[in-house]
Amino acid sequence: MSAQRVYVFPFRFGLSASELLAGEYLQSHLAAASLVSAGPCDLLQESVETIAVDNATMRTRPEVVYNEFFARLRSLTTRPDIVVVDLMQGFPIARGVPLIHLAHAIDTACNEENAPKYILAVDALPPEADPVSKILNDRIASGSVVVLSKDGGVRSATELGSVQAYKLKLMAFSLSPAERLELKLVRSLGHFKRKSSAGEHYRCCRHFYDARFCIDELTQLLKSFVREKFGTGRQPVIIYDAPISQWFVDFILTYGQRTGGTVLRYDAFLRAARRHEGEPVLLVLPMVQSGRRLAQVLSVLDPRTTNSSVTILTILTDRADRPQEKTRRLVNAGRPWDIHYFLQVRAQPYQPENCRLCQLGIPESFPAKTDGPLMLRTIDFWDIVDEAGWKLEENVPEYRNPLGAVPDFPVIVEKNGPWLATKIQSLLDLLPGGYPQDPVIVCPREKGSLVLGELLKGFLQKVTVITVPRSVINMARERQLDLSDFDRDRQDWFVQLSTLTCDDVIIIDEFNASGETRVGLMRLLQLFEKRVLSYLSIVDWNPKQSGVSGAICYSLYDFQGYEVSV
Amino acid sequence: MTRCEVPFPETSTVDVVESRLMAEHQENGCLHADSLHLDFSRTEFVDLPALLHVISLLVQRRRTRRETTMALPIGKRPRDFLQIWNFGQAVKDATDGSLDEVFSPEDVACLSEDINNAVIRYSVNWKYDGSLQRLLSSRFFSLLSFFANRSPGRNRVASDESERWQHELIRAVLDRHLGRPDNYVGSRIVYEACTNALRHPGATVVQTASSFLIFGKSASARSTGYLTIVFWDDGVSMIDTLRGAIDAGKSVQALRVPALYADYRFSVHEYSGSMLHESPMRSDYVPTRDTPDDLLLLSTTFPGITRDALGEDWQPNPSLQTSNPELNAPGMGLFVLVNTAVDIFSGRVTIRTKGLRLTISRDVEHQETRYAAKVTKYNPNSPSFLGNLVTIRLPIRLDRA
Repeated sequence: MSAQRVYVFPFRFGLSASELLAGEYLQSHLAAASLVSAGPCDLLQESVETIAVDNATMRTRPEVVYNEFFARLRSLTTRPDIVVVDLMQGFPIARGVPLIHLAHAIDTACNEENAPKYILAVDALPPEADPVSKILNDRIASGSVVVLSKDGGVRSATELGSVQAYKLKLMAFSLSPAERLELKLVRSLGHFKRKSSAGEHYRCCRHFYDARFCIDELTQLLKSFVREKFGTGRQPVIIYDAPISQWFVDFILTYGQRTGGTVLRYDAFLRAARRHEGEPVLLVLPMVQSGRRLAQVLSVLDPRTTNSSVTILTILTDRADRPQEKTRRLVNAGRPWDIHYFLQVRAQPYQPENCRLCQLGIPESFPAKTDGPLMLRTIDFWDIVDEAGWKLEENVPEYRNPLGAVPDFPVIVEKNGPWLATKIQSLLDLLPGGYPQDPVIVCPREKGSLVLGELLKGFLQKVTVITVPRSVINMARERQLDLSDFDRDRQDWFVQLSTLTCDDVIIIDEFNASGETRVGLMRLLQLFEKRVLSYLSIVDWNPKQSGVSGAICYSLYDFQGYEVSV
Repeated sequence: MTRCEVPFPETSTVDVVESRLMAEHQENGCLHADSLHLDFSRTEFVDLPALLHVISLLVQRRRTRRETTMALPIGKRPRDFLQIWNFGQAVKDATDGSLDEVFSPEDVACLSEDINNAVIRYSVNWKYDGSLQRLLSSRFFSLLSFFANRSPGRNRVASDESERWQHELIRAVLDRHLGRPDNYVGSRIVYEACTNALRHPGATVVQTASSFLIFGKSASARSTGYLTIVFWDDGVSMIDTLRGAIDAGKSVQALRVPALYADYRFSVHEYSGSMLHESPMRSDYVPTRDTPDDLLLLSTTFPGITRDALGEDWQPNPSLQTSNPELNAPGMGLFVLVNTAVDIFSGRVTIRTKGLRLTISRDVEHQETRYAAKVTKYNPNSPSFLGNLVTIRLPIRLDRA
């Protein structure tokens, strides 16, 4: 049997520019094609560019989806046997109307002579009453269309083999919930004072951890934990205690809604303890540090649960006795307790009498207001620099002297990424037109900016990030860039900029010194007829120059260092 | 100077509020009076559409320089509801005036009170679990205003509002009480209702709110409550915008998708309740200059019908013209909204605009038609309703509540 010829049309709703799909990811589509054809398949595209449909287009011209589908179909040089229409977004943004146009396009295309078989790869199967199902039902029944969802759901006229290979290929491409938790956890710097219920100030903390962007991940982790510890038998009563972590309350309530399990606040459980006598109990907490609060809870809980087994889980801990097993030990009133945890983090606590933040008169921070000031405070900036360390400046532009040692920005971003991302988002909210409908970020392709760009892409979602090589920025700065040179080899930055559907972009860089990178990127964007909404850097060493650059410049921290101290 | 007072009963749903206003207007022309006092002091329950109806009336009368005052309920329960739902701010936003012009000093003070205790009382009263209580205390369901011309990020309003409904906790609540897909309320219903409101010419303010009412579990009841989502805008009636396009000779059919056409049992009623006529209707119908307002209103929800068939920025596309000359523009938003509410969640959609009210639901009486579309005609002597009020009501499923 000869290999089936496969093409992939990946639609990306809510994004503004096309990008190249990773080969590893495309393997999942080949697995889907093999599943449907029950034979070998060949992908006929050397590289696959996504078809971006931004928010403005979805709102005002959703019929573009129909055009794009046929434009892609008409451009094929070899007749395909299978076309995979990839709608896997990872986030629920696809609107009903553009999907109707896409379904209609597939339906129309099925009428053509020697039409290929279409596989619709989606996040979740659409309900029967969804217009997409209504339009494609006859095509599915006739075998022209197969719908596959990433959790293994299938809508097909014929029985397919095991979807396991398809699911495994997709899973191989995605991170585990624990890895995503680590990446998305917001670590805010501040001066957080811990107080007992009687108001006694017993500790200060430099960090507050906020997992408000990880509720899906935590729900998955807790489901697995409960399955592992309690099996499929009697499910535990979940008790939670979270006096200050609102993100945790949202998570644990979401878990209760999703699973239908009993989830009670600690004080509510105490009132209803007799009703749950003999039932296994799972006490879940957001964070355990010294264990002081947990000891208080256990001293009240323990006598009320004498006939129940109590398991303790904390989402975060600042120490671990057996990191391999993800447990730590706490002895309370002579009784040892094993505390399970999901993630170990750095807490940096101080006794109030030794707290340097108190000594410096730094105002108290409040977890509920995790955004805090828009920019980084001086103490916060230098603390994160201190933690990340310094390095000799790399990729020094040839038009200026090296700065010598600079903060290790990639490490800063790695350790503080989600927090910085929330601050960047707050700064972008200040733009004259507000946070853009379709945010597009352009940055130099250098380690610090790359890490920052990837962070914003993964963390803020729906953000299109375009990274441009330094050599291209330099050519643009010197007005020596000829775009036709790049049209031939279709480098990814060129593909993205030339397919960009919106006119406004934001330039981001790890730091600003001479301002020449900004000039180079602005000139490059002029060639693509794009308007720069704002220039944003983590640090601006040269705010004096930024102030007269003509661009709206934001930074998370600034002081006049360039041409003064260097 | 003419003064009128309209007292409202203990249960003041939107139907009750409208019928009281109509009855009083028939008798003394209260809606045209120089001064009108809306007395809700006896009211124990008022629903969201009724609040938006009152706001619409306040705006309409303010525009014609007529005074309107309002007495809030005396009872704690309805006062809690008005506080939590931020009714005072919504009145202020819509009328662009001071609360003192509408309410007594005591009522103004009540509307500004801290909501913590009100949330606890309301949660106990409506048997809210921890999740709904959390959403209530964060004012998730409360009245929100968007200013069509003033908001800097107005292009993002529909996306942002839709995204607010994509938060994990509200999606988990929707999944539990309404069933899957839990992202459709945000991405289909809220997004399309908001987009629709913002597109109406002349709309300066759009207001939205929602409420989750759970009644006691009952084995005989088909549902135990419902989620209500309302959107109101002060723009031109959707009847007039579509008619304007037809009268201007524009095409109002952007798209033909036979797979999406369905049969309706279409009935038109007097406000008194008596049926004027009933007829079968299919959603492939394209309205013309002769189409009456009642059918024109229904046709705004048909797939492919829009006042803007060619789109504002539409440019002919050669490849599209070749592949399918009929498919060329938007016009599916209200269809998607109705499809999601009625077909997927078994709910109903009500549109109140001008002198009409349209309700679309599944036709449970007749097997052969999918939808029942009922239009109620208001008395032509009473003032037209200002703007467009879209109410989506989704039942809570007994087995899931």
